Amino acid sequence: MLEIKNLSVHFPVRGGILNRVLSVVKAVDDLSIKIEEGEAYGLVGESGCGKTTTGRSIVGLNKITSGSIFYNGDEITSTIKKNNSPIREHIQMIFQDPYSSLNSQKTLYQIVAEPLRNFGNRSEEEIRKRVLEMTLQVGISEDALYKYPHEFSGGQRQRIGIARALTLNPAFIVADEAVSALDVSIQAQVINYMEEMQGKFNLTYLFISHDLNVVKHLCSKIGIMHKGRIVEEGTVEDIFENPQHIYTKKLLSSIPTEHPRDREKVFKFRKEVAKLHKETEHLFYDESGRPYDLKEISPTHKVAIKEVNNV
Amino acid sequence: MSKDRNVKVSIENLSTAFEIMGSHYKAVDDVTFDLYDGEMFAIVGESGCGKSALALSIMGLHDDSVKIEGSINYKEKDLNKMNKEERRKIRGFDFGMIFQEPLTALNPLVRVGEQIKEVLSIHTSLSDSEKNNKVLDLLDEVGIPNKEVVVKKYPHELSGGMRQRIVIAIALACDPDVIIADEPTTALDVTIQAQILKLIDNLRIKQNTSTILITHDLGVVAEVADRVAVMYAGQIVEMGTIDDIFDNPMHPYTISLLRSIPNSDNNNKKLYVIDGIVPSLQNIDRTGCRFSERIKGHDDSIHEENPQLREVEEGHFVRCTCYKEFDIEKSQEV
Repeated sequence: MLEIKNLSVHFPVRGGILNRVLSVVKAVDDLSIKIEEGEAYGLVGESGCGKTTTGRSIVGLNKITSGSIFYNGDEITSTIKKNNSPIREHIQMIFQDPYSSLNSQKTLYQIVAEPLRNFGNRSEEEIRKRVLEMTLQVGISEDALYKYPHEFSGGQRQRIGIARALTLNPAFIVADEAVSALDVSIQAQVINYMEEMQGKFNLTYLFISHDLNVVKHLCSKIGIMHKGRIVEEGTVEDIFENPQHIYTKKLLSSIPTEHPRDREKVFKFRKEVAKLHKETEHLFYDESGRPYDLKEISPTHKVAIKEVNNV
Repeated sequence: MSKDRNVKVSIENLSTAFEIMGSHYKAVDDVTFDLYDGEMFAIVGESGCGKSALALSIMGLHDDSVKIEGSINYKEKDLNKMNKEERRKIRGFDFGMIFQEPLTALNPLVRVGEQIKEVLSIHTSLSDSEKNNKVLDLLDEVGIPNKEVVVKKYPHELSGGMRQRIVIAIALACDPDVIIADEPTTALDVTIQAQILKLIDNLRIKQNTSTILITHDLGVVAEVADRVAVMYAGQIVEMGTIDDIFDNPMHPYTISLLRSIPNSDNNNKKLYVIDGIVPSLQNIDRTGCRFSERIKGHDDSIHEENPQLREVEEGHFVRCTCYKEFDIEKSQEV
């Protein structure tokens, strides 16, 4: 459904009195991802690994250095950037911070209606009907339609962000750390909603997160990102039961203990991974520290490794 | 286990009230607990439950408009009765604080080495070269490589994990007796979180420092805490050893929190959602069980009037009578 081919995004580092380009930061470095219809793809990595840049590139919020993006087989790399491009009806984004992603000067009604006004010629009556339908869908009552964002709780705001993203009936959603800023009880609510909406509208998700537990809960396929590249990709079982890349192991080992009785086990695992990291780093990164290209080790599982027989 | 340990800080009936439109509302409402020698005591709860207000009250960092009642007993003195000057001497010397966001906790215009030195200048009479040596020792202690280079750097030149290590070095500068860590790893990546928690824990073991760890993350609690207090709407609703809280949680709020995080048990299930929201300060019902309105499918008679925190097993405290009847499955269905 959505395919990213050889995407690179480089940011120039400028300096000196002439503001010349001194070097480039390769935020995304020759990255390819294929997401099937109805799938929830989890993109995981630390801050600075390029996951947000990848998400923003898909919805056209970033300048792309090279590479292309295909949607249902059509190339959308340049069309997605145009404000009124019809493709924007199909691809929507849910942002991380429900406090800064909603315009504080607009009412709930105006916020959810905005995408409807931007695309197609709908009558005021149609818009009203759709807004009402969407807000009820995310569990916000009709009498809240004319309230402003500050009158809602964090969870409600994030649900308004979801309502806004879904109002045009998109097929593909990029959710960038959509639950990271929320308290646990609200986070649970939003996760449940996102799952429910996926079933109801047959949505395809690109779920960007640093939280492996959340991704495990929501996603069917996971890509681990490091230094602007995918270093391992597979099903939830591949990643959690049979991790191969040293960086995946490092991430898994740093998940906080679920229960105090596992403390010793987790500490031991961390030590082993740290030792393994020293011994095997050269199998996963070249001399310049760049991860190798992905190689297939099973029909669902790919690892960025020097030689397949290193597995 | 706690009976044979010495009490380091004893907090009695502590309340912290903020002024909103001319009236005072208690964000921390009658909190009592003992902090023992060398223990890691976690305070857990969602935003708005009063845990940070409690930390700042113990440190004496609130401004004058905030009304603080009750006592904070340390070395046979009540900190809450001290004047500002006496309080300032204790803060940074006996009590160290680690803040959540290392970038705002540090002064962006001062080299990090100088910032650590400043604490030593205020609280000790070391000579300049002794101070410089102490700074390097501290950087060693918190695991900073190339310390001679790092001391000359400004905060923005360091990564988040390194900055948090500097904040910890400042908190440790005078070998404090008590450390209060307010969400010390929330702003950090998971790979660094584990290292910082380990660091805080090792210092506690090595120097017998007592630590109050404030967090919303039950994973962090599971990883390092000895004892846990769960706070809701300004009160402790449950307190016990780490095993009490994880193996035998009793208060409906504790049980609900544990059920709402994604983990290996609920992987393919819907997560439990706590109905409603944390009440704002003005809207807290201060006579009944504060969590009652977020429990569904139960009769109101399960709660008591003016719920008390009672010791139901040795060292395990629970507030209100509702824990006896609470059934999370019933609350989920409605």
